[in-house]
Amino acid sequence: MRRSAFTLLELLVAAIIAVMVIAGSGLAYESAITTQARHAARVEQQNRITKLEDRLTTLLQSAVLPIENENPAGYFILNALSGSTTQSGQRLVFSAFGDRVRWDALRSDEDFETQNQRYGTLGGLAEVELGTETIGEGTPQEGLLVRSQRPADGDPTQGGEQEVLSADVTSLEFEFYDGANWITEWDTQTQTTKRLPAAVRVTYLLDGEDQNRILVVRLPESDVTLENPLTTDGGDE
Amino acid sequence: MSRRAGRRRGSAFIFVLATVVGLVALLAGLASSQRTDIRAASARSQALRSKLLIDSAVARALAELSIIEEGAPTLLSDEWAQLGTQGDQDFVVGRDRFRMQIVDASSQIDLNAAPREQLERLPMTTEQIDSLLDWRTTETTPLAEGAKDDFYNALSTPYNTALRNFETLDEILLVRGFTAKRFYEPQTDVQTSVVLVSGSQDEQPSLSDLFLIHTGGPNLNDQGAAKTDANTGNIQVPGIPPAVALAIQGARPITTYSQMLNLPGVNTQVAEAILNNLAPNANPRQAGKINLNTATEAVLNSVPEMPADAAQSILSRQSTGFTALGELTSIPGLTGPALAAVADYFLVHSDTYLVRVLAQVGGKRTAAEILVRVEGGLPRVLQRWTPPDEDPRIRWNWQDETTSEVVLKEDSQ
Repeated sequence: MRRSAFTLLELLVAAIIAVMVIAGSGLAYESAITTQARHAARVEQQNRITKLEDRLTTLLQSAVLPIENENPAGYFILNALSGSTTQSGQRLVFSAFGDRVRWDALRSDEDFETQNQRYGTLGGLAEVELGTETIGEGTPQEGLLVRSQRPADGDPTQGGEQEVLSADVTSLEFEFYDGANWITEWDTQTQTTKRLPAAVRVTYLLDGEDQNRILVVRLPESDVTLENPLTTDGGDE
Repeated sequence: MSRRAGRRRGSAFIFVLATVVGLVALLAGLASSQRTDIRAASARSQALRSKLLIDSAVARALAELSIIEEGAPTLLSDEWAQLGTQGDQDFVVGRDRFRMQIVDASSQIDLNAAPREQLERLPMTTEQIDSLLDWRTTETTPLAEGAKDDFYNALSTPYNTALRNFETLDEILLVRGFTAKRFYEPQTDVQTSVVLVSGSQDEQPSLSDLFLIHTGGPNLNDQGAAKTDANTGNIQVPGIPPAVALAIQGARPITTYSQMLNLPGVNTQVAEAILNNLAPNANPRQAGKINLNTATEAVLNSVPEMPADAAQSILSRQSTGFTALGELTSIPGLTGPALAAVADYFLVHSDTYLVRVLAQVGGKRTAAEILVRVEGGLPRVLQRWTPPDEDPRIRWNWQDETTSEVVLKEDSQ
């Protein structure tokens, strides 16, 4: 009896189907991997932007002015350092408050001096500066930089430590809502009664992008409102 | 079945198996990546929801504070004091909830106003007292156990002495001798000269329970009008005899009630009239004073020369309340020199409040404290900060569980 076997045609059809299935699977796999990589990159980019904007929001919302108007350690100033505006952007310096006391300090039995050595300074008003320029004589850094000093010492131009908040930011600009308009200047040193803007609009550009991004942050400690704008405060503007 | 046919079928099985394994691996990779993204998004969502809950609580508190009757004394029976039933009520917003409490800031001791005699009655070391006074005063020479720039400039992370009032409560952590643990937890190793709270040493308050900042209120009489400055013009006030009025004019400059109450001819009735109608300065706002109506037992006992019985009498009167400072004269034991010694510490009208909020999203709690001042009927946030402990229920004297709830928004799920 003759043994049954595949015909050439059957083998060809089977081979073509197998090739089509393998090729289809391969293409689908490659497409899935590419899509996944693209998606991951987009998510990563979005996460970086979200993290940056969350941090910026937290920093700006910590802005506070001293209750005593004469206290020199409180300010909110755009471009405090003379001639600091560069092509790459501006710098905004302000006094800030509200950080939580670190939990390890709360549990530490070490004395005051030892804790100062271990944790640095705790409590009080801090001075925060946002900008794209390196302050002082350290190695120049690029991106959005944040300088912080605790306690705020009344000199808004220098002091403290500077770190990179985002290396992707190539330019940075600030605008301030005065209760009626968005204005491009804010300097509590020239105000009779120091006041915070109702909101800050941050316009920034990321490396590799050709369109600015905009972040608007409301300042909860501001008393500037539509009914009580800056312009009514004895000509402070 | 032949062996070759079996091998062919085996190859097909292996091919299908490999394909399935590949697809499963791909799906598993995608799922893992998605899970990480979802977790990150969920954490951010929780943080945002917590923030919104706290903002909601603050808005609710500001609304309550905006309807305080101008010129009325600050009482524990006021509506603002009942909001959230001292933290024992849950405000439910969908799946989330928050608890809140409004506290009169003047129920506590002002960090900038407390004199040495008052600080010495608190659980503080001499080093802490001297250093605190050195921090806020302009002299450049330190007290015996205090610290000025010479000390702070020599620290590993150096800075200068403020030489001015504290701006924030936690600024005290910059002052020599005040570590976070010593400020936020009871200093059980420091004995006090008086018993601040009846009970054992373990039940004594921490310094953070006693101090606050920017306390005070308007200088008003029982009609809600500004008191007369004892330093200006003729003092023609009902209840103050001409002889006493002349004595007050002769004693100018007047800076304290004590000066006026110790003048000859001042009996209990005259003392009441002085406290009700005159002010020892022209300041429209009395900063750093303690409110008779809301002060805690520990704070009342911290007032120098305050008789313990008088402190208890004041506490028992808080349910009905003091409508004018002169009612201090009705407290047994507070007459003559004893009254003169304590009168300058108190007021009955407050303008600054502390809002405590504890938001709960899922299993995570987020706390916030917000200092609010009401001026001209308009409440304004002065400062907001995050308490050092994630769950401050014990420090705030809140129960673990709430006793009632208000549903602001039903859970739609």
